[in-house]
Amino acid sequence: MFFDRTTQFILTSILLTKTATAFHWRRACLPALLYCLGFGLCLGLEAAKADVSKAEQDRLFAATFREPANDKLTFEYVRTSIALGDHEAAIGALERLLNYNPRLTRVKFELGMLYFRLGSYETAVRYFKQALEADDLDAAARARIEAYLPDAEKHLSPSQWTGLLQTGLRYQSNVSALPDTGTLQVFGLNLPVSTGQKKKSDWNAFALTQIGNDYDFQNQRGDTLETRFSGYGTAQFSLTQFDLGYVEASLGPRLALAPDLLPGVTIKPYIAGNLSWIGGSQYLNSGGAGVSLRAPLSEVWTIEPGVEWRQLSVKNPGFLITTALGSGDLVTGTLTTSYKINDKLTFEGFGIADGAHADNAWQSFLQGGFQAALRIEFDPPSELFPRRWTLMPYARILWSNFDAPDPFINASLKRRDTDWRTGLLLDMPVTGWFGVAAMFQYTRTDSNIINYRTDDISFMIGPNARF
Amino acid sequence: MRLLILNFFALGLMLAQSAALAETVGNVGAANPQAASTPPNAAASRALTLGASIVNREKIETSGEGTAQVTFLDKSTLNVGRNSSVVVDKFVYNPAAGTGEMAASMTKGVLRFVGGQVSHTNGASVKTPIATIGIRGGTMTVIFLPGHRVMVIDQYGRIDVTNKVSSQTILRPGYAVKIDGLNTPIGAPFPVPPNVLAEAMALLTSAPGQHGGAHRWPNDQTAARFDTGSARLPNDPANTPGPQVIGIINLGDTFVSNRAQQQQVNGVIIPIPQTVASPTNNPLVQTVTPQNNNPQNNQFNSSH
Repeated sequence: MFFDRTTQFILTSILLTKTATAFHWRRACLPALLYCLGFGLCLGLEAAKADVSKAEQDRLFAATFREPANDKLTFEYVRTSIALGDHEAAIGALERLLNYNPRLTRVKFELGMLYFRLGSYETAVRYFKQALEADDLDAAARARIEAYLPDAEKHLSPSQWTGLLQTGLRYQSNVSALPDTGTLQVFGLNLPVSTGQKKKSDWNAFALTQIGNDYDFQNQRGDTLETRFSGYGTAQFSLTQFDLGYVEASLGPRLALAPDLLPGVTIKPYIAGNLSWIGGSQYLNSGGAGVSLRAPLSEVWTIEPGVEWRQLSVKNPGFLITTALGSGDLVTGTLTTSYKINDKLTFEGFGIADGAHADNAWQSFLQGGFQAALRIEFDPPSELFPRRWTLMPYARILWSNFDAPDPFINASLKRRDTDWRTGLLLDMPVTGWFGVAAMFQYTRTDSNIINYRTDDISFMIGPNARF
Repeated sequence: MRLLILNFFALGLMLAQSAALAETVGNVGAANPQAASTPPNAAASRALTLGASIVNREKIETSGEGTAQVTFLDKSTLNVGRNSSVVVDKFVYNPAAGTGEMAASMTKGVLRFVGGQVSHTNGASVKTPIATIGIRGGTMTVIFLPGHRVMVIDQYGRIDVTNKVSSQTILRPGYAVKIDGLNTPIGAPFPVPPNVLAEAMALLTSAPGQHGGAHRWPNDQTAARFDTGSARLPNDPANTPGPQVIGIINLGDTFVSNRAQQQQVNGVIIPIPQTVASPTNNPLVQTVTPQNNNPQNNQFNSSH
């Protein structure tokens, strides 16, 4: 059923792509359109399915009410209730079966997962441990419990660490970010590039990490202190002048606004900063502060608006300062949203609007855009792989309008860019902590200045570790 | 004559009320002896049996070995642990509207309430001698501790606990409050002590050799056939590659392309005006180079 819906979504996307191409629609709008339609399609299908299952759940409940000891009816009722997200109904029925046979390992494991979903981690830990103690536990269930038990125990500690380390190899078709035309505009003239100056592809070896610590104050409000660190480093095989180093950290408390009146609504003021290096020398460093508000609109829908200010310091060596990024202030407004369509399908959206006020007027700009992604989780090919695999198609579009013409490029033309990128990310955990991920992405920038009309195809693959 | 009519009316009301009270509100999903119940107006208690009806104001009592589970019409369940005494004071449910009311009282032992439709809409309540507990849309365990104290454990949902002098609300699953007396202020919620939860779970579950009144017991093979214990939990977005990873990689690409574009013009071939460039009037070209000699500043100088 799930793959039926996914297949329909993909087929619809292909059909729409063909149609759109035929009508020469603006390529920049295409990905957003496709994902909006795909989202609506999945939503409609899911809603239709939920209606059918609720009636089925009522029918099964009536049957188990008449025959409480009928285990087959009860297991069917549990399966339907879980599919509907009615975890409490499933818990009540499974705890009844446990009364009939207290040695039911699978039932204890399922109860552990259900309490985990409800956020009742202490109870989940107890059921997981009881299931692990059983002699007859099969290898697949054991692998899953051994993966989930540390996840549940983590929530019981005041200091909760989460991390991802991704390494691998990455190919890019246009690392040098040159246009196809073979010409560049300088002082308003379209001039040929020198013979050694072509689009250059390259591979790199990279490492990327995200580490987070939530210090739980263990109060009734659920306040925490969030520390976040991310790092990214690349080593190019040929174009070593583009070796990149990037680190970023942020720190701030996440405070419940009014747990009684607005349950789940939190506000997070924070400070943040980053350092970066390109080719071994410092590039863009920044420091600033921001605030974000997380608000669950329903059990499945969360929004998070935020605003952030940063002071940028950019070292742009060279004679002609033509880069988009320059030293100055950057103010960013964001709106992140997450909508859980069902247990395995989540829509994640991200809108951004920012303004850069740089020391050089031609490096000041206004930007706006959004990103849409579908997080599709599915069961891996082997029962022994304890975690779900994730496929994430995504698309992003970003419009940039610069405040003033760049006198070195064209003194009478303000730069306007449309950058869009679309890709696919696949994460394949093999054990509870180890896995492999791959990512494909196509990036295109359209600009009213030929220098910035570029495209790039990239692909990465490599192992990862998580905790 | 008027008096007679009024008497008949009053009698009718009483009969209707009595019928309502005697309506089945749930049934026994599991019962380990000794578990007994006393319906309202009954002279003696009866042994609880699997599938037996439960009516309003029915009292359920268990011995040191006994446990019971009651399933209500709205899909909620009430697990009654060993050495417990619980009365189903009132259960009203309108399945069409999905609304109703549920109230129980408890004088000793342990119970776990797993919410259904009624607790999700109107809420449910459990009254103890020293506090009243209201639950909205959730799951909770209530256990009597030595010294006539009570602990309420939130396993999901919002729980309000009130005694004569104070009240507390538990919003976090895994948190609990302890009530020391009717006139003693209730302390703030705290993480549930693992030993208390373990004790409550042990008191609520069948012991080895007990089968809750069933004559045929379920097994793991049947559970597997119906996918119980076969699913996987959703991944944690915080440590799963997703938008954040994509964002970091794209930010790196933006930095690199900006650096590259900053230096591109250094390799452009710029025609030099003939009058300035060459006395021979041949079109000559000049490549723009950076002013300093740092090879890092030109992507093509150091690329090979």
